[in-house]
Amino acid sequence: MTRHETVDVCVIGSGAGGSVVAWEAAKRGLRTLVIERGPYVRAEDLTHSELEMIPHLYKDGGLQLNTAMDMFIMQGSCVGGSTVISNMVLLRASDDVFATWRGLGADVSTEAMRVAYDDVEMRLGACEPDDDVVSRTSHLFLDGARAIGRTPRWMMKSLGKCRGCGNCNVGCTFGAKRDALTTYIRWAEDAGARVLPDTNVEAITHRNGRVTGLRCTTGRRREPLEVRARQVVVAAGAVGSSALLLASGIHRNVGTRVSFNAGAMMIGDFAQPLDSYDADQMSVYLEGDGWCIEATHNPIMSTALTTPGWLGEHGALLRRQRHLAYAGALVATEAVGRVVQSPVWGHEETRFAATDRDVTRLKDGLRTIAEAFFAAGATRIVLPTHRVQTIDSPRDLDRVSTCFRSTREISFGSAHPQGGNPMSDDPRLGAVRSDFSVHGFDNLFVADASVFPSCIGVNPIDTIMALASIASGRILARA
Amino acid sequence: MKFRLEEVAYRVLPRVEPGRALAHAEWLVIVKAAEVFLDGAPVPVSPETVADNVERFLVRAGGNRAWRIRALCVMVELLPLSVCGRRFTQLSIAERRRLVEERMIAGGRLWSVVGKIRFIVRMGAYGDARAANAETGFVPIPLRRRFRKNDPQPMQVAS
Repeated sequence: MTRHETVDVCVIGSGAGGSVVAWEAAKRGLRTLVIERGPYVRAEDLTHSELEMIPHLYKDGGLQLNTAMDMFIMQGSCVGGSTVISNMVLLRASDDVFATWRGLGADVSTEAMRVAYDDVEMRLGACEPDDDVVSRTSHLFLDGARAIGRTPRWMMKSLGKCRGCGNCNVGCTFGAKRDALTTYIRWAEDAGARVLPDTNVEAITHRNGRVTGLRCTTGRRREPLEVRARQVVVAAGAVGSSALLLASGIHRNVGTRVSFNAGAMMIGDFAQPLDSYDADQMSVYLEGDGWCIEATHNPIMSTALTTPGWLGEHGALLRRQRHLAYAGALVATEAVGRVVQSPVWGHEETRFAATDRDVTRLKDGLRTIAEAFFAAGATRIVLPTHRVQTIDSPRDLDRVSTCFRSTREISFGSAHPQGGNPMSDDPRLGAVRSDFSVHGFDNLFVADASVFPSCIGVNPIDTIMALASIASGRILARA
Repeated sequence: MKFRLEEVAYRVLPRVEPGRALAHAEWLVIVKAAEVFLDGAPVPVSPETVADNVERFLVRAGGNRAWRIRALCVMVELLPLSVCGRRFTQLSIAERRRLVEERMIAGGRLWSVVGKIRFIVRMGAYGDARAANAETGFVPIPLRRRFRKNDPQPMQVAS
């Protein structure tokens, strides 16, 4: 028998965007329901095992790929969304990004974003990482980047009383990280919001530009559930939100302008042991022309998956693990991707291929990593090609430009998908208006990274939360 | 009526016993792939354990993507028929290794897709608690000195 729920505001997705809207709605006294496809996992349910946690916390068990199968797309799928598996890096998008957005018809002012950023960062307790949790890799990259005349910066993060265990990407077992689960979701629940985990919205039903209900399945047995809400806010992430709208027969510009902070990892091999796994995963970054470098280190399984090499050469690198420093060059890709429904099978597909400009920028970022690591004393650099290739001298840095032609030849991935429901008041360009309503609808909204009209180039959580804070004001004013 | 791709896959792929995520033939492909890809790797885990770990991962993942891994295993098993005349699991270790070197590493689009089986193998190997050892140099969090001291709560370690 179908269960029925009737609320004022239903938020689909509980990540960076949905959690903020849910809290804003609940504190206004609105009956608020948050629907989350993934499980409700608390700190005490987490273990340090990547093998156990990744299938539990990640969308598609961490196995989400683009259609061409040459790019991993990592997203969270649990209450708190990707924030639970993130490093809670809070970096602001540049003013140029918002100027680009305004040029595309999105009414997002730099001043409004500044106020929203301030509010989010204050609530999350954003600060630079404590020195005693910063890894040797971060220090080496910092020193090396400065030595080559660059200006790396410390990240602003909301890690609470971080113990520097290096396992941020499988959830914080210490309950220290101030992600959406431990902040906005908790505050929303305290204010009366209900969270419904393990629940999938199959389709949004609508008539004459108004949402009439949500057709869902809930629990392990996929019991049917119908939700009626005066306002529906979709915040299921850059891929999921577009997929849901498409599955609901809402097509205008939906699935377009998908972009990524996408990149590849370079490895510096140092004579001395670094043991960077036993520290905060990432603490410093460096921005350049269309790229952002983040020095990082992963737990062992993720290290094995991001380390290049076939057969014995892979194992040989893993044996050097204590001496290796990893850094990723993330490119703000062009918004040429699409989320589509497979015409034959109906499932969601993410179609994306890096452009020549993206590849050129990626190579520039990778070369900068190599320069910085050499300046910091690396004895060799391992390139991100599938087969191990090394650069043994700074004189050979030009090989970064020639070691690959397309991203298919390297380990390439993204944890920061953006776009798909681009914001623009121009109905020819946008899926969502500047008041966050879907074009052609008056009670259906989107408030997550999918509304980004272009790639922001840095970790998106801060911007998603700030934008969701602005969205809440615009959406709930109509409630 | 429209079938979803995964529904079709589950009808076409071999039947899986309750509580498992892989058919025995698919499990065996991972075992045989692990014999090749982990030769000399710093992980004291048997190929069978690697396959068991992968299966446990897929059971936890809830089956949403399990069919894709299963389809990949079927491709790995059958594609060698086109060049060796035998299935992957029927090849000796030396033949499998040559197949990796001559086809997967250097090969075209289909072979590069098939080569992604190495990531599945690595997941099952390095996701095992025993992968944190003296050879890899990783120390599990509960065994690190600063986490043993003053730890407010007992840490859980994967079995």
